[in-house]
Amino acid sequence: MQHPDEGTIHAWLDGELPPEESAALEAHVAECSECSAMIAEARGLIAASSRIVSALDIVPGGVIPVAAPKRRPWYASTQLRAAAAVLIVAGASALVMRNGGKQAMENAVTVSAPIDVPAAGSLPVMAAAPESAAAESDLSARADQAMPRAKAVAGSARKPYGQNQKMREAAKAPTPPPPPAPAAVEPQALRIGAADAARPQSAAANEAATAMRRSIADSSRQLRGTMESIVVTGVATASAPPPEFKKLRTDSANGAARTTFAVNTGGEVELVDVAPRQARFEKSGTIAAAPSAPPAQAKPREEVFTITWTDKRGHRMTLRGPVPLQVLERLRQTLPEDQR
Amino acid sequence: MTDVERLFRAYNAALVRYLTRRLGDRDWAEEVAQETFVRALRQDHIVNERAWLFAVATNLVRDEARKDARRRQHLALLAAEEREREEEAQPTTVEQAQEAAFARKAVDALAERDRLALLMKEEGLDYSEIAEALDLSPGSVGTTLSRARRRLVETYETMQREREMREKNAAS
Repeated sequence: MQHPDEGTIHAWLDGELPPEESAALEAHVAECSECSAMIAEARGLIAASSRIVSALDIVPGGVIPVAAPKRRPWYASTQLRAAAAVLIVAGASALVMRNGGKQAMENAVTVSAPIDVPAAGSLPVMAAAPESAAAESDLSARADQAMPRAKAVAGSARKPYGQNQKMREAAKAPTPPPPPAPAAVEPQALRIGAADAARPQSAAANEAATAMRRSIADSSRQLRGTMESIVVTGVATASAPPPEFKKLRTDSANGAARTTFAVNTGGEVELVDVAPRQARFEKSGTIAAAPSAPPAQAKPREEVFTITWTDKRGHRMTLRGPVPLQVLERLRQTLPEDQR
Repeated sequence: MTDVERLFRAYNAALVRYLTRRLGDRDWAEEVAQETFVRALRQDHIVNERAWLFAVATNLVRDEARKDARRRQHLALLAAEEREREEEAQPTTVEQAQEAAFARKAVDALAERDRLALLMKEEGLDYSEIAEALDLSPGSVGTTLSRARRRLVETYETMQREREMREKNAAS
C-alpha cells in the first residue's frame, strides 16, 4: 500500500473506512514510521478541533444559553435607589450637623462613610422636612464630593464581588449636577439645611451627631452587612410606619421548615429554612435579592419578591412574598439573631 | 406521540446545538430548527432522518427560514420544556470567554462546506449522512474533515500564540 492521504487517515480514525481498506492501512502503518506520526498528528487535530468546536457553546452565562427572566438594570432596583438616597441624605445631614463653615466639607467626608447605625437616627430629621427639598440639590452636590471616601470604605469591607459592585454603583447612582462654585452656594445651603435640622428636634439631632462621631472609629467593621439595614431603616422611617408581621403557621417537609407570616400592609410572606445538607450551591454569607417572576397563574401586576441568605447556623434561608423587598428585609431583621 | 414529536425529541438538541454553533445565535438556531421540523411534517417519506434534518436545516439557514406560526407554537412549547431540563447556566470565566471568542473566529474562518461538515460530525453524523446532507461524494468527506480540522486548529493556535506574544510584550 502507498502512503495513505490525510483524508483516509481521518476516515480511519473516524471509523469510516471499509474493513479491507482499514486492514491494509493498519498493516502499512505498522511498518511506516512516517505514517504513524501522521496518525498521531491526526488524532491530535481531531481532539483539538472537537475541543474548539465545544468552546463555541461557551456564551456569557452558560454553555448553552438558558432563557433567564428579564431583570431590571441594576440602577433601577429599589434597594439601590434607596441606598443612593440614604447616602446623599446621610452625607448632607452630616454636613449640616457638624461645625458648618469651611470645615464642613472635610467633616462630611469623614462622617459619610459610617452611615450604618447613626444614619437611622438622623434620617427623619432631614427626610421629613419638606422645606429642605430646595437645599437638597445643593447638598447632594456636596455629598457627591464626599462619595469617594464612602466608596473606599465600601470596597474594603469583605463582601462578595457582586455586592461590592452594587454598593459602588449605588454610591455612583445619583449624578446630581456638578457643584456650583463653592463660595457662592455653600452659605445658603448650610443656612437652609441647618435651620431645618434645628427646627423640629435639635436635641435629637445633637444626639444623632454624637452617635455618629462615636461610630467613626469602628466604621469599617460596622459597615459589614449593614447596607441592607440602612436601606430599610431609611426608607421605612422616611415614608411609612414600619410594617408589622404576624406568624401564621409553621410546617416542615423534606428538611425545609416553612413559616408563613402575615404582613399588616397586605400579603403573606413565606420563610423557607433549609438545613445545610440541602443547601448546596450558595456560599455562606452571601445575600442575594432579586425579583422573581410571578407564578404563571398569578394576577397581573402582583410581583413576588424573594431574598435569600445563609444564616449563622449555615441554613439556607428564603423569604418570598408579594410585598416590596424592603418589607422582606424588614422581616428578616425581626428574625432571631442566629437566623439572620 | 406524533411522528414529529418523536423526531423532535430525538434530534432537536443536536440540531439546535449544530445551528447555534453555526449561527452563533441560540434564538435564531431554534427558529431554524423548528422550521426544519415543520418541513419534516410535510414530508411523506424520509429515508435517513438525521441527514435529512441537517440538510434541510442547513438549506434553511441559507434561504432564511419561512414561518409557520401555528405549528411553531406547539414546538416552542416542547422547546421550553426541554430548556427547563437544562442545567442552570454556569458563570463564564475570562479565560473561557477568550477561548470562545477565538473558537468563534477560527470556525468562521473555515470555508462554508468544511465548517458544516465539521459541525455535523461533532453532532455524531456519520460520513454517509454528512455526504447526503451536504451533497458531497462519500469518499470526499474524510478529505473535507481533515482539511477543516487542520485549518481550524492552526488558525486557533495562531491566535493563541499572537495573544501570548502581545501579553509578553505588554509585560516587558
